[in-house]
Amino acid sequence: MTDAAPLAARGLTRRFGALTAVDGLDLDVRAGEILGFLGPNGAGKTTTLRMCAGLLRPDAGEVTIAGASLARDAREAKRQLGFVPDRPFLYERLTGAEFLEVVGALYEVAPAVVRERAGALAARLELSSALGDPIESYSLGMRQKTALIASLIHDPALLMLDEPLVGLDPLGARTLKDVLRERAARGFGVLVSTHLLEVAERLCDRVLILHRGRPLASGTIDELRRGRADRTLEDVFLELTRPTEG
Amino acid sequence: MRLADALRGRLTLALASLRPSSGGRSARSVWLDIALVLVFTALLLQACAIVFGRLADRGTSPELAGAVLGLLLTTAFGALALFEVHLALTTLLLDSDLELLRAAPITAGELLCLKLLDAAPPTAALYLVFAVPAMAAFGVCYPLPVWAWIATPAILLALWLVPLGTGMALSLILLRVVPPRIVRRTLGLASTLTVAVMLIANVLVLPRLMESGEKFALSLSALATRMDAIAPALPPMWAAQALAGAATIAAGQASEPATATMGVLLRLLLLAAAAMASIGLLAATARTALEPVLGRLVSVSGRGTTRGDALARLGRGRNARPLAALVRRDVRLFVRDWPLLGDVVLAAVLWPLAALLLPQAEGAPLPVARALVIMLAGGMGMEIGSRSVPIERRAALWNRLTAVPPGRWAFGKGLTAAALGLPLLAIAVLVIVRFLDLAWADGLVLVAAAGSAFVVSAALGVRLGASFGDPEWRHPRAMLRLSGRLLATLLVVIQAAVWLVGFGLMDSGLGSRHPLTLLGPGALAFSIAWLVLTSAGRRFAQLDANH
Repeated sequence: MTDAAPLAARGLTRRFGALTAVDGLDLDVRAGEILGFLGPNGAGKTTTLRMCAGLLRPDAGEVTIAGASLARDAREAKRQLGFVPDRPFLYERLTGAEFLEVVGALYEVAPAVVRERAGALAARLELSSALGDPIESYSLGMRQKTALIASLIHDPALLMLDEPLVGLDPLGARTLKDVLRERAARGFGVLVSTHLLEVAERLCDRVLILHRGRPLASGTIDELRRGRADRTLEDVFLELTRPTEG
Repeated sequence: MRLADALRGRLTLALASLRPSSGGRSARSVWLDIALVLVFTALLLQACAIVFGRLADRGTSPELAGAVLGLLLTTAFGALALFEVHLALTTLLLDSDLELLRAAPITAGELLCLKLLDAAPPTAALYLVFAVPAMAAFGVCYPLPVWAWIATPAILLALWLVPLGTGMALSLILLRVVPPRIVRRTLGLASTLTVAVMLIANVLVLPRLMESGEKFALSLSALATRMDAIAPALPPMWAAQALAGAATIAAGQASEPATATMGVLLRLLLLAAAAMASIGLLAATARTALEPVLGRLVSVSGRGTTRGDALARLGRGRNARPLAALVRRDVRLFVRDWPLLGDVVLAAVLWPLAALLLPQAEGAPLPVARALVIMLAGGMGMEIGSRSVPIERRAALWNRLTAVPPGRWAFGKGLTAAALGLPLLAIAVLVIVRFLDLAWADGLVLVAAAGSAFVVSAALGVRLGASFGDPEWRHPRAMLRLSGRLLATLLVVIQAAVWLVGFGLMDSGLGSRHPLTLLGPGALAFSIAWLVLTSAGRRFAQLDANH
């Protein structure tokens, strides 16, 4: 693991026609922290995550993952990145185990290590008994769990998750949160995009609220409360993002 | 639910599909479908006109020609039954609005009616292609009275309903015990193969055999006559006999016109009764089986039935092999998609079958055989290569996410095409060598030609797949967007022409067995394929996850 920050994005911009989805965004995920990425629908969260994952080319700006530039040293940057998209990229006709084998090979992880890591995570997520079934027979939650295991198979320095709790059962959700905390405790970075403000409040060390492609506020939960302990993150979020009259 | 409202809703959906959507894809694909239906109908009309024209010229009676019509309709009926049921089943089980309709305040029977309505245009289109030309050609060569022409749409409707109702009813019963995806895929593969073989036989083989002499006409007539034994059990035979009876009456050949008319009416009534009985059977089955089947569709997910540790069965090597993993993954995706695999296998059997039509032993058979394998290799390379990209659907984005260089991803696709295509190609070459009685040394000439054409075509296919692959494809024949499909066809033809001219020139200059003729094209092909796959890799690197 390098000393460089797991994620450093500078001046990220992406336009879709006349719409500027992300506008000059700076984004940092520090080692050992879970950053909550919040914002109303259409704020530009998914676009930002996709640019940081190398799935979408930014119109401007640069992304650095664990010290490696995504534009100039894409292979090294991608080796340090795990990503769980909002709709996981799965091969329906493969079994869960075959899928994890493929992903492991793509990240150049030895088969024995794939078995060990995937086996341990699948056991915690109660997915082991389904890994021999074709993915097309999986429920939404099982797909999410499979995508999570795939994103961790190469033990990346940065893990990014886009709405990871959708479809997960209570045990799966708890295990996911435990896994994220464990990774932060090991000094890795985690970026979680979510609409579940209560989860963000309890899970994240820091949050960044995005609105219309620009950062609206960022800091620890306490900093966002501005000294008022009775305010929840939901209160802060609604106050910041509510359309102003007139 | 009011039927009128439901019909209006379906009509709105149908009209919307004709309007250009973003990029105009939806409307273009519908218009392409309509154009293809008309083209194939015209081709089959011509083929059937040759068959019945020959029979009429030889003075064959309307009864015997009617028996031939019955034979054709029965063949079509059998194949279309599979196709129809597969399509209706797919529409019922896979359409995106299924959950919406299940949540709506409608009964299971009403839901089934709506889904059958949705499946009607594509299934009916196949009747237009196969059954209408046969009946129309018969009616032209053996003139029918006006009332028989008027009855024809009703006959077609009955022929459409009988297999649909019975087949769907049987499928619903089957779906209660067999996993839906197994039933759907088996039907898909069977229908793809059967419809394709029917098309080849009807368009290519029948007229050619018919023109080849009296023998075939006599055999066909004899076979048709033997069908009399089972005719009472087959609705298409009732339809054919009704039309033959009408033609006999119109020609003034009926010894007792009143009895003949009664015979025609009886067969039409039988057909109507069969159609009603079939729909009745479906309604009765749906009442008890549909709800459990739809419920099963939901409950099959997330069952977790694996015995033992699935991860322990994976490869045990010490080192990761990304390229091998890519190829193994793609081969699994191909092999497990039965309808898609059926389409690819068809590409293999199509061209050796065409050898039946060659003028035999006219000079040198080697150039003819080489032309065949070049067409086969070009077509197959393009088929597999171009599909190897969209077969990944959205998961193709893993190539952007992981550390594997896009170029290696593209070369993996090329290797997948080789792993799937070369064994099929080898079988095809063996068949052609045996069929045309070629020397085994000529087999080497064919292997060199086929290998070269395959390598280039597969690489071009991968490149087209990277640019025109449709990750949302639903039908194996439409995995590329329209422009991609047209370009793919054009490229296969151009490649074949270039290879044929090139080999022709080398034959005349060096001879067909000269080492340079055998190895030179292969070296050139690998160089071209390398360039094309590199370009495909660059294209992979540019794939964006659309917002």
